[in-house]
Amino acid sequence: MSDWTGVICATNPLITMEWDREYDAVGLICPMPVLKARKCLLGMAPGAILRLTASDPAALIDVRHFCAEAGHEYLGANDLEGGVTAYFIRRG
Amino acid sequence: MPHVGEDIMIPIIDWQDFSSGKSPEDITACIGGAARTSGAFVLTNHGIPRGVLRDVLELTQVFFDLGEDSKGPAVIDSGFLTRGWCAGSKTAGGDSGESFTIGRALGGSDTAPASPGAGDTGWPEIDGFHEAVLDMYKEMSALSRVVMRAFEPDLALPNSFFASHFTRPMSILSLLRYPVGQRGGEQGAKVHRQNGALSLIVSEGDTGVEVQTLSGDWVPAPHVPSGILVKAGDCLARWSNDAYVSSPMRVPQQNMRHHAVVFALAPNTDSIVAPLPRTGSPKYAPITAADYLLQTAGEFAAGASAAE
Repeated sequence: MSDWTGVICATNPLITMEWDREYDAVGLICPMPVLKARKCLLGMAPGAILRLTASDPAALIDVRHFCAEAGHEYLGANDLEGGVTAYFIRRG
Repeated sequence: MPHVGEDIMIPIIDWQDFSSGKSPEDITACIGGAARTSGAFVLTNHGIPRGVLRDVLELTQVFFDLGEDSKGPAVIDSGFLTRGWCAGSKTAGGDSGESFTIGRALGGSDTAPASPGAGDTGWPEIDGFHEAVLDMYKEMSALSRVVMRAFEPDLALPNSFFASHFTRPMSILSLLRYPVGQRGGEQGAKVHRQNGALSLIVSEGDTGVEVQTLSGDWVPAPHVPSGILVKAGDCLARWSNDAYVSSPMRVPQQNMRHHAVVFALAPNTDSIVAPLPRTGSPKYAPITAADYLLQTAGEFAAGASAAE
């Protein structure tokens, strides 16, 4: 959050969320993070949670659309250091 | 299916068809067509939660209803360098409403002067305002990048061409209150163009925006609940070597309070804006985005410091 002078990151309940699998898509440009997530989720049990980390800000829009289309549940996102965001997806 | 038709100058586009991968080619063709005629289209199913739009629009009204002392120090409108509250601002378009603008701190660059930022002193004390406005910035920033991605095939560009131009962007988000007046009288926002890459505009009801098409007609942007009006800006027109139109827009004055939130996607300061390959004989010389966007802003800023 260093880009925002004087901004304090709001506490987010997702900070304490647990997950079953994670995929690091940091550095990948959209739509790659979502394509990787699709692959991961296919190998997971329904109800299991994927934590996807990505640095492309456009993932915020793509992940929601992907979940709506593929029938997964978008649980939310959590900003990490260095412009990285963690997205939580429950396998549908 | 997207609305494609010769008679619809400002199409309404279901973004789910692009982002889900269902029919990205159709969407690209549709927004490419719109960019060549009216330079505008409306997105539905864009993926930004309604709650985010509702919260920021409600808080926009709360902010402008505050007393002047509570809105933070009044600043001069200086285009992409503006941060904080502008009262009766004279923007590039000559508007005379009020605005509140945020953007990233632009330090560390020779060409972009350090800006005050909507930091510790610039945020008003309204519960949830800070978070709602930042959330909106993030959402609009994300959506605008996805839209830029959709233009790439239409401009015969490799995938992700634009991504590198928006890694440390000069983008700004502005909350606007238009002046109240007689409909048909003075303009709420006078005729102006958007000089960034893209502008995304939302309003609590009808945006009231009218866009001038290539034929010279003024066309009202269609109103869709929770829709987002997208306008191509000067940077995108320049990249496309004027294949795309950064069309003039205006907002006729209304006789009731009218607010809007506008996100202007602007490239990195050192991004080179030059006509792209395969767009014909270049009409413009390459220029850095900072030089391009801050030219007018610099004049405003110089005026501001002279007045202090």
